[in-house]
Amino acid sequence: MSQPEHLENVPAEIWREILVNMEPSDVLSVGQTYRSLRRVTRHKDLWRCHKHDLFRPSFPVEEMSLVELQRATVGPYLFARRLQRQGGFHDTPLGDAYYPEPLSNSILGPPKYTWVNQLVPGGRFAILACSESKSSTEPAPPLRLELWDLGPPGSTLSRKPTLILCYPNIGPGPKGDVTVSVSVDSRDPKTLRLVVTVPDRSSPGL
Amino acid sequence: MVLLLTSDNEMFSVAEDVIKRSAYIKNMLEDVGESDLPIPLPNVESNVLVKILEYCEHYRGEPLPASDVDPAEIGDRSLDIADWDQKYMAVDQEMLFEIILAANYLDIKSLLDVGCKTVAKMMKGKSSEEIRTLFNIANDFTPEEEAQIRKENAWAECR
Repeated sequence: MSQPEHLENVPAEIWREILVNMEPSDVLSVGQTYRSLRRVTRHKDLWRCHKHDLFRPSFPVEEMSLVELQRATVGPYLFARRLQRQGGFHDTPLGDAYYPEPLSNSILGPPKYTWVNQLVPGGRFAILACSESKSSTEPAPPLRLELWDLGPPGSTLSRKPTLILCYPNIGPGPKGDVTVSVSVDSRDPKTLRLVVTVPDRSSPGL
Repeated sequence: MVLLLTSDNEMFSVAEDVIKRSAYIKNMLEDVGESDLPIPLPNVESNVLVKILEYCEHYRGEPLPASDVDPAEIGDRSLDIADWDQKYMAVDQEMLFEIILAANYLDIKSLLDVGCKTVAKMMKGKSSEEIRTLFNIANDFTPEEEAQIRKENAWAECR
């Protein structure tokens, strides 16, 4: 079967220039249209490019298979779409985002007094609010906020999780519960917002 | 003035500061120096060159982008296209791809980028069937291949 001539004339390198401008999920659709475009979209380099938001320091991009690369790039879109289907919109708190079990402290560095450990929806990042010692000591130890990259979801842990963001002191360690809520701006699903609520040590009601 | 000879043997005389938006021609002029000989463009037809020159005319006087910077490397995936560029790109598909190929050949990065974004925008958010219809693409997969592709991409289907 022959295709329109003006499409047949477009070399693979130009298709790649076009495809890097597209959302990874759209690239999947394009790859299902006809043979030669399928060949173009099956190039790993296309999925490895940083325009498709593969976070190189944390994804072992050189070792990942084509499907792993596709899943890693399309994953955030699928997550955002699922969220929108469930009626989530601007700043919807993800109530069910809490990780059911505490993340192992042995994975995430030396033992700490952890107030919050929460898996960010999507499964790749974890948030920890912790302090070096118990908060009942005086003066209260500072509360740290850490964002960990656990690596591509769905794959075995091939390397150590990476600490990608750390606020060493977001205030004195609390006496009560710390909560971290995660929300997604559906107009910009790539941005996660974290809101940390720390009870004030001096006024127990807050 | 610079003389350009298209694939269909039409001669164009163009101001140097207009055509210098093409890095290919700019480099050639710098390497060869002043010459009365026309530059042959065996990959560009006259109707496409007219369109290319319209673009170069419009951006005449604007600073040339740094030659080493690949727009793809700057890294945002936004498909924002300037108003004038959008109107400029409102042509039939054949011409659109001709412009892209010519921009690639003549090494006019900004035009190539706008062309690629225009095509990307046309395909954005569409299913493979819709893309086929839009570009008049014949589905050349065998039923077996289609079943295989569906299986491979099952993880990305509606969840």
